[in-house]
This record gives sequence, structure tokens and C-alpha cells, in this order.
Amino acid sequence: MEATLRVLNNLERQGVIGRYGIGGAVGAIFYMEPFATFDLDVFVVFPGSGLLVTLEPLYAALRQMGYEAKDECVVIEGVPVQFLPAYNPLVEEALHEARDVMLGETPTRVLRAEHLAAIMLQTGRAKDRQRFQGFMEVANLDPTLFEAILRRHQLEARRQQWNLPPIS
Amino acid sequence: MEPSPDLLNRLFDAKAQRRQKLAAMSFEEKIDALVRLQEMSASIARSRGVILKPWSRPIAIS
Repeated sequence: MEATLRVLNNLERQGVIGRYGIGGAVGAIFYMEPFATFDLDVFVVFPGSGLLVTLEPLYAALRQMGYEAKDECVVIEGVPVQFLPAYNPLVEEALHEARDVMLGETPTRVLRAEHLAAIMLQTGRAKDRQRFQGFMEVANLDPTLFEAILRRHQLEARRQQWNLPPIS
Repeated sequence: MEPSPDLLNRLFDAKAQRRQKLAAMSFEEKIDALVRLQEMSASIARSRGVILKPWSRPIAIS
């Protein structure tokens, strides 16, 4: 996976993508015990993106590097990567505040645990709900930060819907 | 014979402790474990005729 991250870092350096951060299952694994997943979800800000975001310039740059898109993913150095444009204020904030981390010798970024949990709540699919429960048990969230994120992005009602008490 | 509540509590506590221990591993160790899990999933899926491709494991974890 380090080789994949090096490609992402190069894309960011070249300005093909803006700031990126790992989310989804691999982002969650950063904070909890490993579980099987086969793709890497990468949230991305696109430089100069207006109302209409297209992945085509990114896919074109990757094609030139020999990486082909397949089923909404691009296999980069053996890892299927799904690029997700920052699609709302919560994800934009999550990307802005993503943590700088290292994988081996390679720098990368992972969304903060509090944002990952908020995104699970907001996305709200059955698998998000299932992952959320286990995540909250071991991810050691900062309660103050998490509660502030939920308030800022109007997610308290969803939490109530899921019958989850505020964390302390 | 049913297991005693005490035994069950001990087993569940041990499970919770193991999860905390796994969650505390380094990112490198977790990615290595993830790829091992992918290899296991791929082998089970293969027996059902489903092809899954595990990532490569370039990082040496001792």
C-alpha cells in the first residue's frame, strides 16, 4: 500500500488533486482492530472545483501513468482506490483537519476518528451503523470534539434515531 | 451443562481486551494484518468461485 500512497502524494504534489485523506474502512482501521476490506476510500478536494466536479482529469492523469479505472475504482499498485470528492461541509471539514501520519516511510493523511464516526452517522447505511458500534467501543474519540461536530453538522437527530447516548 | 456467568464474563472481558490490543497496533502492523485477512477471505471466496485479489505486502513486519 505504500506504493499506492506514493502515487497519491505525487498526484497531490503535481496539483492533479488537492488535499486528500484516507477514510472508509482503512481510515477506521487506523483507529480500531483490522478487518477485511478490499478497497481504499480516498476523500479528495479538487483544485479549483466549482459546482460541477468531474473525476475525468484525475482518471486521465492516472491512465497516463498506466492505472486504469474499473467499476468506480482505479487500481493503483495493486490497491483498488475509490476517489470521493469532498461532497459536503462535513467531509470538507474532515479533510481540512485530517491527521498527518506515516505508513512505513511514506507520509499520508487519515481522517480524524471523530470525523469518521460522524461520516458513518451521516451516511447511515446498514454497514455504517454496524461499523459505528464497534468503532465507538475502541477508537477513543474526544467527546467534546465529537459532540461539537455532531452539533455543527446537524447529526444529533440521527444519533437519537440510532439510540446512541452522548459519549462521555 | 451451561457455562457460569463468571466464565462468560471472563471470556467477554478477554475478547474486549484483545480488541483494544489489536486497535493499539501500529498502522503498518494493521495493514499487514489487513492483507492477511484479505488472503484468508480470498481463499474462502475462491472455493465459491469468486475471485478476490489481496493487496501486496511490501512492508516487512517482524
